[in-house]
Amino acid sequence: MAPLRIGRGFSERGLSLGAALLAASVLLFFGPARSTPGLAQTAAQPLDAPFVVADPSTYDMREYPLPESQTNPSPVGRAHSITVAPDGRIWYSGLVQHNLGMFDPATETFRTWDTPTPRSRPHGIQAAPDGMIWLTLTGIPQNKIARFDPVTELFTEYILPRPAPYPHTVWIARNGDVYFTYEYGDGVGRIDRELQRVTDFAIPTKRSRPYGIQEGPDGYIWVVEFLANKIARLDPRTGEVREWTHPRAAEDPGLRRLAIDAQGRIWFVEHEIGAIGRFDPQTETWQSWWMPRYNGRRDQAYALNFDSKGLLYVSNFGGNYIGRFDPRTESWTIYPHISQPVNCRLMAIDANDVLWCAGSATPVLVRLEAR
Amino acid sequence: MPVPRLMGVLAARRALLRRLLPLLAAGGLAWPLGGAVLSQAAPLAQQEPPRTGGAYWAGRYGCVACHGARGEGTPIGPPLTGRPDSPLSYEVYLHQVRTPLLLMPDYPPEVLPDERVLAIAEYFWSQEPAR
Repeated sequence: MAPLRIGRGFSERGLSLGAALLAASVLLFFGPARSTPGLAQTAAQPLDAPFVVADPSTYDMREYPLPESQTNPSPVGRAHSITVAPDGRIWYSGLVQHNLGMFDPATETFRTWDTPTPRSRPHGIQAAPDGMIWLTLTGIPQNKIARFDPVTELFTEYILPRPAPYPHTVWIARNGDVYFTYEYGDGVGRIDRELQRVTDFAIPTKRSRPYGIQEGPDGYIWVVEFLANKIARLDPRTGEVREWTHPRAAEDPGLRRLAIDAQGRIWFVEHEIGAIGRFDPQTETWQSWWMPRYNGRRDQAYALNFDSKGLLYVSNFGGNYIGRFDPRTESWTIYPHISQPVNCRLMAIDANDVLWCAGSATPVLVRLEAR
Repeated sequence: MPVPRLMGVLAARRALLRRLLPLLAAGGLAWPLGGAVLSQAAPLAQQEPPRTGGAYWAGRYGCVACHGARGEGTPIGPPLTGRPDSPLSYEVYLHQVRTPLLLMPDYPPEVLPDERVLAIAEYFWSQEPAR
């Protein structure tokens, strides 16, 4: 059958091809290419984003020297992760000194408590709405979760049923359940709010290094897999786990920690290359932005947190700064650290949008208030 | 104080001031307030480290989290420093990575290839043993 001719001799196939090319050209020229799902999947290289180094008059950054333990003194690594309690006090996990620390911003004083388990290596930390402080203990036997009551100053330790899954980052869900990643156990654990039962959920990918964890506004528990470069979603009702592979997983960007915005989009750091990324579960699309190269480096992006205005704060080890990314303008503001290097780990933002973090390379508690 | 000695002291002080002034001008005066430090020193120019080699892979696969940044050992991981003719030979490394004793996670070849295990071993061999 002869092809249908239209007008001055164009075939139907040729006309369709021409129309498609014309439409593609118009889209490429005028359209928002970065938000077009098909293009985002294939052109997922991080975008360059403009940056400025913050004018010192626009912010206040302070460093408070962290106290050295009397029982397990260490020159560095005195604090790892940070959380802000409902009363505004700052709590930190003393990974190397095997203790729990507290800083009271009102009096600018510290207190510490050794954990009942010696050499416990507290790592993840999260304050619950009831004021309880939850910790993951990564010391041998690497299967304990601790809860600290600031009123009675007593620890309660929970032994997990799995041998040595290495409970890492902890997150308190809105219903009070306690979730944590098993960094070397390819899974997620949960202590229900009545503290009567531990449930484990397997992540399908082997040696994925589940790392950051957070509950989304959709009620799912979201996890980033540091070694597998995937995002996992746990349905706490059914136990189903679904994974999405980063489109540049072959380049090993290193999805390490995450933050979830009000629209339920998953933001994460690409630790190995010094970028941040965003995954939209609604459209299943990805986009990334480079962090600024400051003082010659931008590698080792680490933690990220949203403030109440939707601005994203990101710690960067290589450049030794805290970056603030505005998703609306896609631009950065850099707040250089005072000491060198600091290596701020898991951060927290208080009710006044003041950022707190602790250095694992220099033993300081960092307070950043950007105006 | 004899005049020559006084002149020497003053000259030393001027030299010290000359060395400190650029630092102070570049970074601002570090000034403690309420126990806190408020301003930064001038940053040192750096380069991003290569994303390959034993030091990089030891970090990427989490070896240093338990064994220390230079393999010096921690409460949850034994020291790994030592020469290749020590008991920690490449064969021992490879066996431990694939079928570990105690608490260490296993890494299959598709996650941690043999050549990277060798690079990691060479990195720790090159480090001075902890004293």
